[in-house]
Amino acid sequence: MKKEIPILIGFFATIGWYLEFFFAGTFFENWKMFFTTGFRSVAIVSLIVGIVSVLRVNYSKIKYNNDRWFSVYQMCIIALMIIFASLRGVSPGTPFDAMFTFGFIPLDATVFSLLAFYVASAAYRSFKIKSIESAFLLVAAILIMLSKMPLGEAMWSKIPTIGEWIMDAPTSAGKRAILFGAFLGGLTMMIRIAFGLEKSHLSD
Amino acid sequence: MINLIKKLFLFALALSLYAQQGNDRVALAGAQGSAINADSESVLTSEPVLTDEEKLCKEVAEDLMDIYDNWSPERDYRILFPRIRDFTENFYKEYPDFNLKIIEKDRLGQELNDYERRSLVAFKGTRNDKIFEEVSRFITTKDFYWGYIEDSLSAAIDEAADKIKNYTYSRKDILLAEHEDFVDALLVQLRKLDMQLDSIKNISDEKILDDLLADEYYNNEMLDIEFEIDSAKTRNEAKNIIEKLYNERDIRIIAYIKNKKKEIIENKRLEKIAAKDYWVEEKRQTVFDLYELEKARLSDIVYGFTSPMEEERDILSFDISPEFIKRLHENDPAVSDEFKLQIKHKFYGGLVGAFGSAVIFDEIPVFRTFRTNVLIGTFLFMILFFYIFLKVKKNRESLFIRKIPGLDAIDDAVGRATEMGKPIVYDSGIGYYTQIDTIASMLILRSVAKKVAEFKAEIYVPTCDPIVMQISEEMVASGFLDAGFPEDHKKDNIFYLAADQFAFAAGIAGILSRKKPATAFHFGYYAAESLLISEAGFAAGAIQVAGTTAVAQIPFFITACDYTLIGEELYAAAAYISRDPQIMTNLKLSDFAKVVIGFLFILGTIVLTINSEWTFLQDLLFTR
Repeated sequence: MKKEIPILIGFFATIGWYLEFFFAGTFFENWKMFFTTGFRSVAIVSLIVGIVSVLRVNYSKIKYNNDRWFSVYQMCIIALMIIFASLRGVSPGTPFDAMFTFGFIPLDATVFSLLAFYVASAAYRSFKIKSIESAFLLVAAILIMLSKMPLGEAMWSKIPTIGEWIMDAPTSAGKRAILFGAFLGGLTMMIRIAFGLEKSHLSD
Repeated sequence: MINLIKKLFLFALALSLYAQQGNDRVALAGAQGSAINADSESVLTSEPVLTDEEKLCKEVAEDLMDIYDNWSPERDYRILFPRIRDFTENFYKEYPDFNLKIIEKDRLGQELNDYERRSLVAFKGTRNDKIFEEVSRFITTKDFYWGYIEDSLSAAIDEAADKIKNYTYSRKDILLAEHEDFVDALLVQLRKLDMQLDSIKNISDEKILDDLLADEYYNNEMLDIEFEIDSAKTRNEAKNIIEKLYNERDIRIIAYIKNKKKEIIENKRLEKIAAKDYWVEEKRQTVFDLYELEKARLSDIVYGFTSPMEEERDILSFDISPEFIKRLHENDPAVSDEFKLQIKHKFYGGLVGAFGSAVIFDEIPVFRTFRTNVLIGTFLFMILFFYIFLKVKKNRESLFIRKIPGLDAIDDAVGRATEMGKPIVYDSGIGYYTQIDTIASMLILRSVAKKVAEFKAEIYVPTCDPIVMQISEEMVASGFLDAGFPEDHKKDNIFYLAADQFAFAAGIAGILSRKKPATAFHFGYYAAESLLISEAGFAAGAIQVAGTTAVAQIPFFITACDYTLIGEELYAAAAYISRDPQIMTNLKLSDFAKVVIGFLFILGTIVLTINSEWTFLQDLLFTR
């Protein structure tokens, strides 16, 4: 029963959502609403689960001196933000907002900006002619790079057109092929789970 | 004498005729003038003649205004006014020195000191977040709105909306007939463009030259060349130069003609494509789309009648100004009435919105007929699924399943971790538990965890969603149980990291660089953080296997990881690892469906190439 009941719930939920796509009416709308409300309720509870996990993991790190000071620092920041938010709210001009705007956002942007360097290093590694395919990749990449900068057009006026064609024709075709495969795979997986043929997501 | 008498008589006759003519002219002018005056008076005094449709819209507009006039803001005022007074008082308690000069300074771009800046931010917060949003929420949010206004008002709005609805329903046949005519006209236009395009392709150079004579650039260049020819005529070597210049001119003219022809053909082609798209789009319009268009048209007429009525009543948009807050703080008695008026303005906005929402065409049938093709398609897909499923079940030994190198490498990758005595890091991206990529990732996690337990390695699973963390914990525990080593499972190794995308990426990058894992798995949904994570894994020297359906991230994984599962391979991964032939239907079915879709692509291309008006296949596959 531990597996059968979730499978049954999954089956009826899927059938309801599937039929809702074809049939209008309050019954199906309510059916959908029931599950969306359920998702929201679970999301709220999950916040507590997340906090407990963070506390548990950091507590054990502090206790067993495993990167202790990182955890202490992290816990202090979390506590400070909770205290500020509780005392003064989160609206603009409050300490919580200041921490978020002047602390979190620049750090977030810093991590994002690392991407530029990682792209360069990853491109350096992959742009080596090891096979015919990688030679094609290299040529296409150089053409695309040239087509995106004024130098390319100055070298040869057709380069931007070639770059555009590479992006519009072969790249789009490849992307769409992957997307088709992914949608079909997703659909098959949905059928497998809905009909209870796939059970590995249910714990023993 | 007789002659003299005759002349006198004729003169008198001519004079009398002239006099008669002048009187007539005056009389005519008087008659015309009085008639014009009468017309202009009638224009000024009488109402313009309205059609039945306009009369109906005017009636609806008057109904809306009646609702507005009869609505009293007293109850809202009683609830909201103390609240906004509290907001204001709290603000002035905190910033007692705040005055409107700070707002003026900010407006002029002058530098503010710290106190002024903080108080201005708090003031904006009070004004926008607290008061404005509080009132907006109270007045316009549907729950509050409908909970607040009386049933009679709600019924009145419905009654006004019903007039528009019933009128639209009564025109159903006319709308359909008009639309059919419109689509036919579009097709005729399309055919005309097609013919024009064909004739343009065969257009003569002389015709193009006529067009070019109106082209400024062409004329300027020709003038320059002519000028050079005229100047060259004065030189000794004139003959050669003139000949050269004439040749140059001819080359330029030919080039101009060629480019112009190309431009005209291209423009016409684009015009034809746009006309075809428009025709196809219009052809697919259902009666409900026509109702919506009709609703928009009639609403415009209604609002045309409400506009002068709004001006009569001085209805403006809701706005809590800085002066209002100042006067509220100073207990100005006039503020109460002003706030009531503001609430009424807000109510009017809500009323117009409610009227728009009330015009719903509920004639929609229970079954959405325009999705029949999807219903049939999914049924066929399910039949195919079970057919292949049964076939696979019967011939599980002889079944050929294509190799997926990324999944074959999982055993080696886990074994490597055991040999090196280093851990494995498994992350499932930034997707939520409702996303199919995350679900697929969880299925793989169970299989990977089983192998990890068998190889006696250690696995870390950082997650970006608490629910995903719970599921991951369950999957890892089940994997260890499947392997027969439940006691080896460490609960603390599966943990919640951060919900923010880049915080999560930074966290994983940190784990990868500190733990230096032998193997890293990245299966799930990823966005910009994919490269941040996989490059950190590369720098840590881990063997990496990744899989995602996010098309934009696949190139990054291919570049940075050792093996990558592309698209649907992610969904088949769990089954592939577990070597369960029944579940491997996934791969077989996907391949089969891809063949069918590929066939449809080719067929569609052939059909549309033969005749671009044969859009039946397109229409068959189209849905909304």
